[in-house]
Amino acid sequence: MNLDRIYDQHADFVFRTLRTLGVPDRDIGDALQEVFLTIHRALPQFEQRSSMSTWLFTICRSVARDRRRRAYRRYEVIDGPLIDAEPDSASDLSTRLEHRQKLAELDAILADMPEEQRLVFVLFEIERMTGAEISEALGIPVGTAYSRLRLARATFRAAIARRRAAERTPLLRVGSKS
Amino acid sequence: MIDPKRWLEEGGGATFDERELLRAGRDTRLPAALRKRVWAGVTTGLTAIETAAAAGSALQNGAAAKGGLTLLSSTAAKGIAALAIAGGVGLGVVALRPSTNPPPFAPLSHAAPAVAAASPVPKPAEQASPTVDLPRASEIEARGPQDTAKAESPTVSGAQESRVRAPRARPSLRSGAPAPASRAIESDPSPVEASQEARRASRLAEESAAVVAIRKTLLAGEAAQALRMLDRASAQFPDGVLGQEREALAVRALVQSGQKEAARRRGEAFLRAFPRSPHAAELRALLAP
Repeated sequence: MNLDRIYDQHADFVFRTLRTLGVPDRDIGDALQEVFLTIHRALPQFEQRSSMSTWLFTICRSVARDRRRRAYRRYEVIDGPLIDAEPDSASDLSTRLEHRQKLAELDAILADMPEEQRLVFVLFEIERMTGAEISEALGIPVGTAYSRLRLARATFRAAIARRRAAERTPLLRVGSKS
Repeated sequence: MIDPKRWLEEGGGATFDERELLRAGRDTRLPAALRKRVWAGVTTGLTAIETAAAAGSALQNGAAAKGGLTLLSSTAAKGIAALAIAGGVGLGVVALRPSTNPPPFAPLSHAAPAVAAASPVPKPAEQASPTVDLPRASEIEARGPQDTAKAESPTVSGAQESRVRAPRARPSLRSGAPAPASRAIESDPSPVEASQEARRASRLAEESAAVVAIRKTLLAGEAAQALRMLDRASAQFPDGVLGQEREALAVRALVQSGQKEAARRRGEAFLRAFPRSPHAAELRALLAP
């Protein structure tokens, strides 16, 4: 496995993971570059004892942590345009806008979630990692990963319910203030 | 233990809204333009790391260029230093910012990760790296006071003990944003110096792009085409900073095209001139009977 191939196959995963780890969109290009240079350096030591995703996640986490230590920002929803992370470059404008809107909502909900829940939730539900892989990536027992997943699902569900309720009753809320 | 069903699976138990948001997350891809820019940065960064390592090694050893290979002359060192200064980043973190064009990629803001490391997940900023002094301040035009700070530099294949002193990294450009001219050099150089820096950086950007293209061509299995491109690059950049990289690629291309004897001659000349080059181990393996 060489760097070109890893980049082709896993750049999207690294991109999403860095965002999940709280790297702001405006810094994502720098962080991606740093991750892949680190991969290049560490590749000879990768013995495939863990899955590629698990290994890449640990590198992303290390880079994100290091950047945060260097006074980078905490997980936050960035004002201004999100990176145009469209699902497909051939998508029409309305599909892209819809995707962007949903992604913004997902980001907002994840931003409010405790990190330990967010990571397990994203790795399991979005990145399709197994419980065993998550356990290895985060250095926690599988049982702990499952219980965090349960909590994260409840948090996620409650957040969506709150948002939908707020959308349904905007006039009521405005009226109640006056 | 058996994993629970995922929410996006059939019968996973998620609501429509939940599935929609998760799908948006799953469908998120690295945008094509950023993908290209980051990859260009990675490949150019690797080239610079290798080149800086080679330059450091030769400077330390007093190894003068021999056999027609002149990469490790002070020209190369100056070129690297100029590149680092113009880009405002440490060595190994390449930032090519021609003053009139947007950068071809987003530079890293901080320390470059080392090329080889002992631990599987190294921490870039904590790497102990070897050092060599690059040209003195007087040799580097437009060098500002902040540039005397020592930047983290790339570690090279474990054995070398050289460190390159380079300007401390400054905050990088935002992804996709063109380089404001005023940020290219922050040490208030004269217009003439600034334009020299910009020309050097621009020239090095061109040379790097040529090397990246040659490497890609070779990877695609088109050795003859790569050799033609190498000839053109030699003519275009006779005193180029990346001469050693090009020479190593030439040996690989010759091997790949079946010209074993020519590859051996050229490779041996290279190894005599640069026994401690980062390319040396690879070339020795390539030329081994």
